Amino acid sequence: MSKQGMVRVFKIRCPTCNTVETVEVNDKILIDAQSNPLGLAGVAFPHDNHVLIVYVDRNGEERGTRVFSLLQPVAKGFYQVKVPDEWLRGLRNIAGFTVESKRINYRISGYLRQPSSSIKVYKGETTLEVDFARDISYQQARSWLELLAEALDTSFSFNQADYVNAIRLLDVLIEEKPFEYIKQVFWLITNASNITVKVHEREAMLARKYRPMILFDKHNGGFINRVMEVSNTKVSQLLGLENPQVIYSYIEALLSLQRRKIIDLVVE
Amino acid sequence: MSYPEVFHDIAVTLLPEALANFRKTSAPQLLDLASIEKLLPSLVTSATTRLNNAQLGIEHKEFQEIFQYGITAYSEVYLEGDWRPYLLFAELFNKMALVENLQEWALNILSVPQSAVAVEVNPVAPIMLAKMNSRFNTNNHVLAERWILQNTIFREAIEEYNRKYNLNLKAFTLETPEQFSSLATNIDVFVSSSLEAMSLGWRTVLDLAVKLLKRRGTLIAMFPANAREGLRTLLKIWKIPEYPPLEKILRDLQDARFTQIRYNVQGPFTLIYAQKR
Repeated sequence: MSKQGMVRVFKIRCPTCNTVETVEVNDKILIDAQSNPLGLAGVAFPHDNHVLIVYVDRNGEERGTRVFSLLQPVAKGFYQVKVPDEWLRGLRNIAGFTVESKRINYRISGYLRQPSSSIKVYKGETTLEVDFARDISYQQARSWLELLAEALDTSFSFNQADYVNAIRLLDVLIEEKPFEYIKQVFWLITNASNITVKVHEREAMLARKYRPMILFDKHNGGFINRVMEVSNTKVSQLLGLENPQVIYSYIEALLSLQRRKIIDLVVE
Repeated sequence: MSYPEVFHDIAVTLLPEALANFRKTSAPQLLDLASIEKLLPSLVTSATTRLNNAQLGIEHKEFQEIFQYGITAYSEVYLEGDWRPYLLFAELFNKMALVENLQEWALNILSVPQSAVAVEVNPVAPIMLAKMNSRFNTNNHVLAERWILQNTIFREAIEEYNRKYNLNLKAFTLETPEQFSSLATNIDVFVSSSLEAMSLGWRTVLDLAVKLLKRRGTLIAMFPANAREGLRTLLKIWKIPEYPPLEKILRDLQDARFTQIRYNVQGPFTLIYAQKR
């Protein structure tokens, strides 16, 4: 009897340690792939000092693998990082945070102020705990944290800036209601160091020439032009450590370009 | 100097590429394209001869470039299941000078009450709603076929317009009339200006406008002159049926008790502006 929701099963060999893994593609993986801007979901297999990621597309087909080296073997416990205080300055709602990813054996935290309340959520192999500096609607905050934790659970980034930018963005968004493509916004910011922008020249030329209304009226035109000019740039390089509102506008612009195939976002 | 049929001739020259692209797919459009395959060589030869003797303006080159991209975009839907180029094409279509001029003309003569209720039918990107909202602060609705509202890319695009232009948009599925029965005779402005709206055909657009517009409500509808070969087959790629001539459309509007009827023709597209009596 087949397992419930199982679409297909295939075997894959880790290029680093030769371990053979069985990938069981189920409905959840397909749903994850469907809601991902790349149309891919990553299935992770931790192997001592590295983690093998197998990418599966929305049809359940294997679409390549990638190996991420861990900063510390799993047996030694989490590799811990504390972010510099100055990176957290200017937060309005958030006093501090901890992200723990068993997937990549990584714990990152940063605390700036005394909290008034705290919320902890779990998604997959990721724990996200956020301390709040002031009173905030529990229900609304929790739904935002769950969305962010879901994105963090897909991240294989060791770049502190990716986590700090995600927290700074959360600090701004938490006062709003989630919207249709928020998962993509979080996915892009939490994976920024591992995603490269590839420009489609024909679409970029047409966009430059005809300037579709929404791209140039409602997104940062300077940023749009900069992205279209330089292919093969990491998203994290494009985002930098600007203020959260600017980062948010950059991410929306990237997703907008991707939605029109002017760029592709590629995991590298 | 250009000549009246120049857009049809440009369309004819795009058809061989369309046929080649769609032949790689199992798209239903292939049947329409293949039906004129035998005639194509002679059509293309005479169209090319006429085009070589004409001076093409910027609007002709835009039409050629954007529809050429549209053909690639639509064939990619069938080849790779990728709707993203289709969305870009839909937005480029709205940036063609011909189309922008028509839309601007309509918006410049449009007069609506405060908090007017507006509907745009079948947009993959609700561009006219965004333009109207910026000028008139309208209450905005999208009425679209299921294939548009269930498409992830278009849903995201509609949400993007909704958020970026503060449209406070409500969307209804065209196939379930009971969903939008509350809109009947409550609409101040009914807009049909996308290629996807044109694919509904003139009778459907008119019937919807009659049903939804309130007294003195305004209909803004764009349609193609696609009776002649060239645009006829090119626009079939977007499933646009043959439209009646302008005179017939004007008569239909009068029969449906529309007044203050005005129209503007730009190349192969006409925009009508009319008020329900």
